Amino acid sequence: MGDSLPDAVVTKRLRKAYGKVNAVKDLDLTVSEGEIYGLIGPNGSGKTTTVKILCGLLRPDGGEAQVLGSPPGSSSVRPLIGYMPQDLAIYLDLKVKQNIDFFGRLYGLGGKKLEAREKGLLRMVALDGREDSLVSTLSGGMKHRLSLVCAMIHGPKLLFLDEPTVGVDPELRFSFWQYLRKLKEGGVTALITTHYMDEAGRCDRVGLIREGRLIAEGTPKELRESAGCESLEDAFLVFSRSDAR
Amino acid sequence: MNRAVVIAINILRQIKNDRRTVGMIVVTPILVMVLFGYAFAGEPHDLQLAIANEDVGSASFPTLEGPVVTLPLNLGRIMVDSIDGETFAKTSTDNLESIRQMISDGRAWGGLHIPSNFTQHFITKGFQITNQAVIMIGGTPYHLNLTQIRSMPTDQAYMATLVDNSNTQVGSLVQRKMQEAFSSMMAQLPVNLSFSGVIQTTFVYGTNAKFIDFFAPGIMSFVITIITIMLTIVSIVRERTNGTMERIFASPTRPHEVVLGYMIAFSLISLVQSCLLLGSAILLFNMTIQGSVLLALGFVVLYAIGVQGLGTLLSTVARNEFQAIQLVPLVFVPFMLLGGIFWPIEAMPAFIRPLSSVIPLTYAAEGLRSIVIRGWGPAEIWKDLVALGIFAVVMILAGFAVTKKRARG
Repeated sequence: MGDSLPDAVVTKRLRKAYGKVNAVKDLDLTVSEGEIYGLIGPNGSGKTTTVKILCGLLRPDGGEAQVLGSPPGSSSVRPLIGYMPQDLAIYLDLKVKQNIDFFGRLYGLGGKKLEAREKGLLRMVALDGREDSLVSTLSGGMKHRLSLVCAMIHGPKLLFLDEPTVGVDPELRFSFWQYLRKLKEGGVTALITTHYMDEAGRCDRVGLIREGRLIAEGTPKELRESAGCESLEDAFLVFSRSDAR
Repeated sequence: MNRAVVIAINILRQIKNDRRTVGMIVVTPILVMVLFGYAFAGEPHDLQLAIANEDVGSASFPTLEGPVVTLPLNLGRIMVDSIDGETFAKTSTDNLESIRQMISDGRAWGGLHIPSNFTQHFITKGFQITNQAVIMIGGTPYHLNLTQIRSMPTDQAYMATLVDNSNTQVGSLVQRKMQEAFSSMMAQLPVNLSFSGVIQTTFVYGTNAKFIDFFAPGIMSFVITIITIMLTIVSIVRERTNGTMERIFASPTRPHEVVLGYMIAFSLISLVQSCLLLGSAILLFNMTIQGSVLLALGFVVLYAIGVQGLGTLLSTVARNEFQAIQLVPLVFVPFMLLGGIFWPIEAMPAFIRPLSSVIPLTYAAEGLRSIVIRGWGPAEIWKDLVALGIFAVVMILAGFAVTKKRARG
């Protein structure tokens, strides 16, 4: 890699294959600090693999990647990122507070600092008062919100949210995007993957990914205009067909 | 707080909140010990034993002084009285043939025939063998006429024991109890006759050992194996399938901290289980521990660390909890059959024995047995300690390697 980059996330010709299947193929991606970046694409397009590489959970086969100016997974980066996997990734046999405590303590938090952050986040996601509930007794939406809290408990600078709204009803999805906006106001950068095109419209910038490659990138407005379409969904189809040729 | 401790607490909290798992951890050791204790540990009792004691008693011998000296005793009766009355229900019968018939009909597990001149012939045989020249009776010395005694008959100096060995355990017990009764009879002889050829057994260890003393250490190691393996594999696979493991690996947590966290949690669980197993064996079955209880518990924890590492290693094979459960018998069966829990490794065919030597349970059961029955300390069980130490280190390193590989793709 060259000199440290000002952007939160940068990838250059990033590659990852599972056997003969290319999950990520020469992916060039840039996410600026403080923006909400949406990585949009159909199932199997390489979104999750990209996020896992950026979180240091997968080794790329080739190319380069930097997260907050350091290689993914390096010890200096890990405390600064928050990761919400596609699965809920919370402990159903534990109480709400026990889940948050656990992930907080993994980041070295404890005592009053942890308690204060916990209270603030639970209030933000409207889970205050449910601290002692067993997670298995919560509704699906509540579990999603708890999962988000667990990703944010240590106050990360950069959030990786992998399809955080799959299976979430429209009302909760709306609330979720409100929380995300609040976080952005607090200076948090977010890279969010989704295959819901309406959600893509809420991002500052969007990258359209197909077969592991970025086929288009820009603000939602720029993408619609560039494709000459009314909706992002149509724009995505236009870019996909053009790429297929 | 150290991350490994945080992970250990998290595992223990999950288990605590899951009543079924708590039940399995607490109830299984007690249940297994109770079941094995009652089903296996109690020695058979009230076994039918047919006895035909035809011995008329008393033995007379010529002396150099002139008169014949008579020993007023009936060895046949002493022998019968010496047979353990709890193990056997003694049934008197007429002769050797009727004993054989009772065993053939399944009415008796064993039989003892004592011929009519047993006392006379047995003691005669004793004098012939030992060349004893003087005997004391009532404080008076008598000089035996050995020349005449050497020509006296001894064909009835033998008792016959018949055994139904269709159940080898019962068969062995009958033979052992007969040997014990014989030893007791010999101890009651009014004259000192140390027959060469008669084996006097002295228990170096386990003088009053019961079967439970033998099998409890094996069962203890075995229960620890099964539950630790099962919980480790299922916990890790569940963490993987529900995504929490990924989340842990995305945090600053290092792979060795995850391995250490699991090790701490399952060592504590094993410690609790060992206490329950030992406690129930002591309270319910009066098991006696000759050695140090602390050493026994520490030894089990060392073994559990290795088993937990093995579980971590095996967890890499399973993609889901269903597959994880299927892995347990892979460990369960060879450990149970080759670990020397129920029968000595020496009883196995020679070509199988090398397999026992690579099964850690063999060393765990043997070491624990030595602590419990023989009262051995670390210096005496060093080979087992070294074997389990190597097992633990290898498994921890292997567990660390697979965890590291998984953590960094």
